[in-house]
Amino acid sequence: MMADRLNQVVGQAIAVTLENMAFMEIAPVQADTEVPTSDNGMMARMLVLEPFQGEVQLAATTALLRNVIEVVHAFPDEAVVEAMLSDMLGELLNTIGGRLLTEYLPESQSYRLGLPEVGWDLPDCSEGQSRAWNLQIEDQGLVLTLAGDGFFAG
Amino acid sequence: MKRIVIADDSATARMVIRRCLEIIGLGEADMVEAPNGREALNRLKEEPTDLLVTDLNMPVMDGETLLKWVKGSPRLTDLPVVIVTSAGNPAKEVELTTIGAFAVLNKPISPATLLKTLEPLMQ
Repeated sequence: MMADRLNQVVGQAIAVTLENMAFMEIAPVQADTEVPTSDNGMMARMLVLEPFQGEVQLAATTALLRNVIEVVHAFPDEAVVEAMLSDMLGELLNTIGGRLLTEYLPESQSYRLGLPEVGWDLPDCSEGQSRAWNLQIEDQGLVLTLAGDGFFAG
Repeated sequence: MKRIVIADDSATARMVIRRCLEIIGLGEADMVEAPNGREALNRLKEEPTDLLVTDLNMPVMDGETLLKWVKGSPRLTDLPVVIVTSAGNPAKEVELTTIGAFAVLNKPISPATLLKTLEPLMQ
């Protein structure tokens, strides 16, 4: 029951964010979807500070980030630099993470998030259970991971 | 509106807000961007401004502190402040509107939401 709700909330948070920011639709991952790795993508982490300790992580291929930047900033692909990719991934994580907690926690429950940090080699601060959602946006992979028992309690 | 200050540490977020403002018919306004609250405050002191749109979570000076400075300044106290945040919830919204925020919107914002919020100020 709780897992169903988490599934729904995660899907909704990603869908609303991508749709509002870049008019893109998400789909379940396919066998030929390019999955983000340290070679072809970027990863960002953001701590959940209150009401529990946890972490939200988002990984995306640089091809996907370039596509989103092209829509949001109206920038030609060749003008996109790494700082823009990092900023885009951080803002996607920030928006998805906030949306997710707003929907998942009880309405009266306040929460506090850290600032997004981008990099594959960041130390893993999370403890307890974790779960990843693999999604596809325009043939490119996006992986959202939630870590921390608070996400799975109840 | 002639001048709008947009404060967010993410260039992407600032661009999304700018785009939404343009879509709802405020593209003629001079839009000034700032990466944190401190910088936004400096921009606000330069020239009369009609609207401040700010994020909450920012380095150097966060959006809540910026809101308190604006509302505490005799020169800026009447400036409408719209908070656009990923960390909003009903309790926080009440807290921010009590301090003086004109509205609190959750990210991702859409032009429709922004238009509905700003309509009273645009008339």
